[in-house]
Amino acid sequence: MDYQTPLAKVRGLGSAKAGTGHFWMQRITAITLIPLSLWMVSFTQQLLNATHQDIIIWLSGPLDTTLAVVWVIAAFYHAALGLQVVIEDYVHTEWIKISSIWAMKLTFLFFGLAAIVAIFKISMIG
Amino acid sequence: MGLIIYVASFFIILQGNDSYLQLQTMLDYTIIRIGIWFFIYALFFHLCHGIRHLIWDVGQGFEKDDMDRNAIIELALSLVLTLIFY
Repeated sequence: MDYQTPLAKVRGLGSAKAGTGHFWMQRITAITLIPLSLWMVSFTQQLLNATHQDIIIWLSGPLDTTLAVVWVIAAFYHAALGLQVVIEDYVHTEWIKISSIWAMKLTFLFFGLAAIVAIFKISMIG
Repeated sequence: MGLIIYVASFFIILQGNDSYLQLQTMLDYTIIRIGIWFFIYALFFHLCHGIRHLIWDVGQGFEKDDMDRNAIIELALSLVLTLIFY
C-alpha cells in the first residue's frame, strides 16, 4: 500500500535546488586556487630542498602563514565539491550515495582543520 | 591523497628536525620523485583545463578552431609548467 500522494513523491526528486550554490563555490574556489597553486608548488619545492630551520622560517612569515591557511580552505573545499560530483555521478544507490558524500565531507573537514592547526603551531615556533 | 600527504607534511615539520630529515630522505627515492612529478603535472593539467572550463563557462571558445587550438595550448602549457618546476 502506498500512502504517498503524487505531489509528495515528486517533491525532493526534482531540481537540485541548492545546485547553483555548489556551482558558484566550485568556480570561486577554482579562481582562488589559480594563484594559490603557485604557493603550493613553491611549498613543495621548499619541502624537497629546504632545511628544517629554513622551512619553519619560511612558513611562519605572515604572508606565507596566511596563504597556507587560505590554500587549505580553498583546496579542501574545492576537492570536497569535486568529489561530491563524482560520487553523485557514479554511485546510484541512494543511501550509499548520501552517506558516502557525508563521510567524504566530514573527512575533508577533519583533515582541513588538522592542517590549519598544524600551520598555526608551526608559525608559533618560527 | 595528495592533500592528505600535505597535511602529514605539516605535522612532520611540527615534529622536529629528525622526522623532517626522514621525510626528505624518503622524498629522495627515484620512484617517489617520479610520483611527485606526475602529481605536479596532474596539478598543472587540472589548472589549465580548469581555466579552459572557466572560459567555456562565459560562453567563449566553442568554435572548432578554438577547441583544437586551446586543447594544444592546454597540453603544452601544463608540460612547460612542470618543466619549470623541475
